[in-house]
Amino acid sequence: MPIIVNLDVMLAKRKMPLSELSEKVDITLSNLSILKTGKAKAIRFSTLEAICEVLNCQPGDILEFAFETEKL
Amino acid sequence: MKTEKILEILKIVAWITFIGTAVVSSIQIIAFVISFISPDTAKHIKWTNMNFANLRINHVREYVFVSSFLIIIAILNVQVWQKVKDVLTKINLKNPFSMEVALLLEDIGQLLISTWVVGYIGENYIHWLAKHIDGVSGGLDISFQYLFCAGIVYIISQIFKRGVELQEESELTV
Repeated sequence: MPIIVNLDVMLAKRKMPLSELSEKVDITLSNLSILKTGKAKAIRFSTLEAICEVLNCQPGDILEFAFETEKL
Repeated sequence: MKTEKILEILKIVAWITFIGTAVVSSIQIIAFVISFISPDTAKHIKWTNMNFANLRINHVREYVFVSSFLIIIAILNVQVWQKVKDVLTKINLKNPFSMEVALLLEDIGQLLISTWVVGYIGENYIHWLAKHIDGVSGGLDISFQYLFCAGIVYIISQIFKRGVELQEESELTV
């Protein structure tokens, strides 16, 4: 998928474990894992808002668009 | 609760029909094979009021064609009921949208279409034979109901597939 989730990068920058983020944003660890590993198909604005608030960042810091390289 | 009971009853009915169609098609295949050793066995192949024994003795090639149509339809019927039985066994009302069930429904649709196609060709062949050979009558009795059912089941399978996709999307929305 051309949308890359950089949640792990932001967590590393803020030195925050996923479990702590899970408690602060009130989202289950399994759901945050789905988001972190890029398996998620959609993200709610409310989730994005809560994550940005806790990590003190912009949505663009968490989500990134990358062009897909053509498959040979 | 009521729906679950209906599904349970349908499951039992599907199992019985599956066994029944399997037995009938086995008899047809065995009778067809044995008829090459003993032509009299051909009279046990029953479908319409056609005289299969006469066909076997006097027109072997035509007999092979007609019997093949009957056997193919019987096997397709067994497969349809096997898939129906599988759908009723695997469906879970708490979480009904599964790709496995959607694919089974799609298979049922395709099998019904195949049955109709084979039946349609077979019926026309028998009608053609009836004009040329005495004692050949009737047909395979494959009506447009098969095509109608196939269409309905195929549409349901596609809706089911979309339901599976939506459920998956909903589960993967954070």
